[in-house]
Amino acid sequence: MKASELIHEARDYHDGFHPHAVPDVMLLRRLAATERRVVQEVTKLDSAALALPIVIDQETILESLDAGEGIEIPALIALTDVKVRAEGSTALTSVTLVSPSDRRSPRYWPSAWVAGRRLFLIDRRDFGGDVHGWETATELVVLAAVVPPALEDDDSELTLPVSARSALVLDLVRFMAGRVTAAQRDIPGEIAAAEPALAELIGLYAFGTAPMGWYVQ
Amino acid sequence: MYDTPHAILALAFSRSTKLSEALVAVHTEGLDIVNQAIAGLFQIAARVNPEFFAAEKAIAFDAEAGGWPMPTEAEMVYHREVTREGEAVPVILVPFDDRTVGGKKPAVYFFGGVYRPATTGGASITGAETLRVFYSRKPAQPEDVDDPIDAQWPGNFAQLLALETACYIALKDGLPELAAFIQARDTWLLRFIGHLEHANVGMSRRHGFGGRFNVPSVAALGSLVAGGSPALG
Repeated sequence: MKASELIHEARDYHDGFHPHAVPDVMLLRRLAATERRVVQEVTKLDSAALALPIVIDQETILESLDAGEGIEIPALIALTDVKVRAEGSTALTSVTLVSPSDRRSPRYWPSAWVAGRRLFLIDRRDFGGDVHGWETATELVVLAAVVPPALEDDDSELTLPVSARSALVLDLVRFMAGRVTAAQRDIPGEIAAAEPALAELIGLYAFGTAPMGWYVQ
Repeated sequence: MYDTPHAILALAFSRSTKLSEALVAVHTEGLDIVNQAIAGLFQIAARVNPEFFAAEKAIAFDAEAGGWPMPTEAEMVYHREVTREGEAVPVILVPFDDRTVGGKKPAVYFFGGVYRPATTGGASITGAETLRVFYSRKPAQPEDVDDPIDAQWPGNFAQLLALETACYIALKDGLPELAAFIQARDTWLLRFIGHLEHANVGMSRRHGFGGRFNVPSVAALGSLVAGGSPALG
């Protein structure tokens, strides 16, 4: 879903929503801010609801261990899970995430810790081991809700899925109405519907994905 | 028929026995008055219907000026574009003190008679490109009373041009007929504006800026004609 599609659709709501009155760059900033808000609020309710897999290959894993610099990861809102795949195995093994203050503890393995935008893998050599312990790891899968990137131009793709379209369009309509006063008189219903639409969207993403009949302990 | 300043002046003189060639030096002052009259009416046309007396021009970058000079014959430039990969890409006009308001779209700002490139990132317009401008133009100004007036001036509004000319002559000489000339001129002026307004209707458009002007101007429409226009305010 491209930013331009939503911007054009939102402009259709009122004849005062001309690019002269509200340039695209303002709407791109608004869209990005609203996307961030939706991802943040959904993630607060369910950290896995909008999580995306980030796959890190073997070469990157080994390079980071050699350099001791950690693996660069995107800006995250919430890190849900990290798993590692071993050579010759199809199964994924959970990597224990430890707090930075526990990173010197050799109790857990495989384990890792996060600081800033880097994922540090616990290296057994730090505790007297002969090897770092990740020799057989072929890939890491980090499941995380990432901060939606800024929308650079009209061609930028949104992070949220297409089901967010109508709520994001209404939010743009509300934003433009703040600058085009005639719209406040002409389309009050659409403006008033913007916030409930976002709330509904957040609820849908946070609670609407659990299949019925789950067993909850 | 009334397609030269001389003919317009003759029509103006016919409006009153007080007007005659004795009042103006036809070949110099008379020519100036008709040119002034038509210039004011073209200004009104630019505001009411910019496409009515429209023209377009491709402008090459002028390195010395630091941009693309605005055509001297332009009264109101209302659209700018460049051609990229065969497609016309709009170039937006931004304020000189907020040059990034267009984001990454190609943009220019107007400064000292020149459109200067506004740096907006990857899609910025560069000096290697030709800027095509669309504008409402000023009228062609005949250099002799027997040269033709602007070819696009609608001949059925010769009376308006003649009355506007008569108003200027009456103003110059303080003739008491001025009020009557203004009244007659305004009738024709409103017809002319009516024609400008409804010359092309039924346009499908998404936005309401049909008149291009979205702010009230300092110079009201009625102040653009001789003696002001009570009808236009």
